[in-house]
Amino acid sequence: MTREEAKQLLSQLADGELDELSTRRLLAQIDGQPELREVWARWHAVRQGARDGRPQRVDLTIADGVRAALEQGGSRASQRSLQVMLARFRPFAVAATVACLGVLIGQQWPAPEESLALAAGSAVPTVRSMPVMPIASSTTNQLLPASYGDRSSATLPKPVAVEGLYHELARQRLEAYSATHAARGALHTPATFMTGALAADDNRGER
Amino acid sequence: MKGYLATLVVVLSLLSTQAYAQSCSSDEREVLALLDRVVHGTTKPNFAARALVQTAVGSQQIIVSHGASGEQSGYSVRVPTHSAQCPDKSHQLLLTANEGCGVAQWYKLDMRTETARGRQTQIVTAVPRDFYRHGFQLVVDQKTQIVLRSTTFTQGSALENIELQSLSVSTAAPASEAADDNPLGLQASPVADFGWSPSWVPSGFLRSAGTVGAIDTQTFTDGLSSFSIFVERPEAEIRKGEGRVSRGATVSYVRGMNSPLGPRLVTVVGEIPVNTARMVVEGIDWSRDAQ
Repeated sequence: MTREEAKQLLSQLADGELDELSTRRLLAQIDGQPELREVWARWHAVRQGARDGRPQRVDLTIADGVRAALEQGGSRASQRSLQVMLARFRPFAVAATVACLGVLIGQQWPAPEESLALAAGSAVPTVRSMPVMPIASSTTNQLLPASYGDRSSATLPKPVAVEGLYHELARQRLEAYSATHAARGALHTPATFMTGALAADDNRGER
Repeated sequence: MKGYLATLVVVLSLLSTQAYAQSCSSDEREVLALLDRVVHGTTKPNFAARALVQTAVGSQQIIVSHGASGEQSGYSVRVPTHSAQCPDKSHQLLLTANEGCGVAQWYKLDMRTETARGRQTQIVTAVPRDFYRHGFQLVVDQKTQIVLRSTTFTQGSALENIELQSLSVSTAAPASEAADDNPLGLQASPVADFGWSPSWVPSGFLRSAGTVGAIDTQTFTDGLSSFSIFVERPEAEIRKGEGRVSRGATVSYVRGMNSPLGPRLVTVVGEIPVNTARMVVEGIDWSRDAQ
């Protein structure tokens, strides 16, 4: 298990979505990598700080608590104990998710120089060469859940909303077709020119 | 009695519409003549300028040129000109003699004269008479007929503003630019059989160009605004849906749908409100669609 995979499992554990087998594997991994334990503790501290509004003492024994809950076997009490333990981490899991989204969204904004470079480098696209972005149909290409024997794993990939796909399609089509439209539209309008003629990718921030 | 009244109202409304279509004030004729000169005037000089393009997401500077110019780069846009023989519908729309009152039927036109930066300019404002198109304001240099600034707006809010700066006008005689009329080598085929057609477009919009192929395209214009419809035929099934993004005044509206002969991905790109694009797509008639 790589460090990144371990971190991902940590996130799932904090989200209460990690099955027992994976939890045990993760805890074994934490034993061998002290830095993972520190990551776990830092996340917990951040979560506590966000909740209480003040810095918290870093507790490196939380993983042990989870392990203890697992060691108690499959009794309802132990499961409840594990759930309580995991529930403590849900708020900071949400915060971590938001942080990840922030990173992703941040990557959508090109620097001004990059925008100009994109504009400079863009050529008139060959519309006929543009492939149609494949859209998963309702009956084919279904994502199958991973499973352990006859027991499915705890999480399924969340389906991408069709609105998001079409938003992306609209953006792609604007890039692909705007130059063609502008070349024709420029013949019709007394305006200086049409911004589609620029074929620049300056609307990424609207996503 | 109610039937007579309803008939009377309909007749009166038709008469008033017809009367408006036929009548055209001298002010409107003056504006239309100016627009006509701007669009395909043969005496417009060659020029180059730095243009500032402002949209809601930021601004950008590019080089705009018209006619013979120096080096071209990715930042430059060439403004096309029109030959007198250009069979373009928008020319007819702007000519009052051919199409009633031209674009004044669809826009309320206003013009005033101002002096800006030492130049005598004419400011033309076109406010749409319906909700299906945007408004425009053009600042035209009275001497050269060059549009120094164009603003596209909707309901009083600017969508994009393009302003020429550092304008350099050539004193040489304007060169013949027949080749520039068709910079992408587009072959307009208004009479081609597309197999599909929009059953509704806003009043005043006429088809000005079209191509049939792997991706069908039809372009419509009312003389000031324009939009293009692109129809793709995906081989796989398509999940129905719609999406849109905009860049300045240009909107891209995409709809995935099923025609009688299979899935279709329809895109409308144009300087029109997104609701207009949606209505155009919803009204597409696929009855003659052929693979």
